[in-house]
Amino acid sequence: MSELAGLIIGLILTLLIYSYIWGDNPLYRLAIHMLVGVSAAYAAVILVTQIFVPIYRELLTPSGSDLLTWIIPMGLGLLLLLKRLPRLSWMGRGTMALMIGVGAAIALLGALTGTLWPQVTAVNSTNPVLNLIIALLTIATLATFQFTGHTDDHDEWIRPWWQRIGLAQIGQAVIMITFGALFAAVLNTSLILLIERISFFLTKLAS
Amino acid sequence: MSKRAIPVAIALGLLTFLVGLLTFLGLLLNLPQLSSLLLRWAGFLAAVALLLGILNLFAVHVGRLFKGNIYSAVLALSMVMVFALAIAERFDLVDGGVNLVFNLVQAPLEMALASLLAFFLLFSGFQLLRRQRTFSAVLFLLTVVLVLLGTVLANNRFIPAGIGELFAQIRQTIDSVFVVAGMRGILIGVALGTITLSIRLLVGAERPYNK
Repeated sequence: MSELAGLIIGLILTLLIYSYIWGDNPLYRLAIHMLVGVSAAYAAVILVTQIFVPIYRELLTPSGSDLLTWIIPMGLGLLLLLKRLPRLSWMGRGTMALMIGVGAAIALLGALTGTLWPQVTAVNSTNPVLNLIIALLTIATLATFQFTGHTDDHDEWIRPWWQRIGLAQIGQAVIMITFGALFAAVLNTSLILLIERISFFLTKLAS
Repeated sequence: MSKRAIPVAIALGLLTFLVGLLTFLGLLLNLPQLSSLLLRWAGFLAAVALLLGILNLFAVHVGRLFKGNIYSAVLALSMVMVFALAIAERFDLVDGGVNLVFNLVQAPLEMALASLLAFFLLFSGFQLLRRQRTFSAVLFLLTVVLVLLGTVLANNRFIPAGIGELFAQIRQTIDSVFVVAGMRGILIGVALGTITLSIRLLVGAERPYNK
């Protein structure tokens, strides 16, 4: 009985979402608002059960964390509440500064050691010619991201020399091919999901 | 800027720099006593900020609900339902209520939205061809067609093996040369942008916390 109810609810919600194929309509908006509400509340429940409750339990145990180590973040967390009040909102800036400082440091280290260094040193193929071509195309792609230049004596805009010799144009073509391949992959995945959804309901309703 | 605002801005800039430097050094030099404390604090504060954001969303939609907005009523009711189930679960009144809502409501809606993406993508592809017939757009759509044909025709028993292999080879070349180079260039570009922005934040050239 509960499985049938779940199936019917799932089918109705799926049809509400698919109604968007005929354009934006109240049924689709209803389903989207329901999704936002459930997702946000689910995230809040997960936050409380996975972060706040374990910290609370840890503080209650004698061998757990020292209360003093949590007094500062708790105080800063309370100051965040003041951001809702226009006259006292400045008091929450310290909390934001701490989060931004830690976040920037993590992002900096992550970008350096997790992305930049592995991407610069990675070699995919054992064929050196292929590796050279990939390296040149990577440089061409990077050249596309140069959006600054300088002006000459007559205030004429001069692009960097690597853009004038067509390197950026090659890079743009590589980016287009990359986006095309990614687009095809996403399209493929979403088509598989669409087929899976339709076949799931057809199989369940037939059985 | 008022007289009081200047010392506050300097203090906040110093706080960001010091906290960022300590976190960076703690992680780089593998000093877990230093880095884990700051990371736990930042994680806790991020969770508090996220929770406040969610409660703010609820408050905004409850406000709209009283003005007669039916969609806000649905959103607020969905949130109340999940919160009520979570509280009931906490006091052992129900078993697995929140997970049931996730499986019955959130998962089907998310899957339906993800599968609807196929229609959006196809539509946007046609729109691109109609509105912007530039070299880049043609190259983009040509790649899409070649990759899709490479996927569909590979190991397809309804067409001659040679054609399927040819398209599979084209797809392989696109993936292993152009996509690798393009993605690598984009990732390096993103990493350089992240490094620049992080340094600007740490030295106080960008001060989003002042807003």
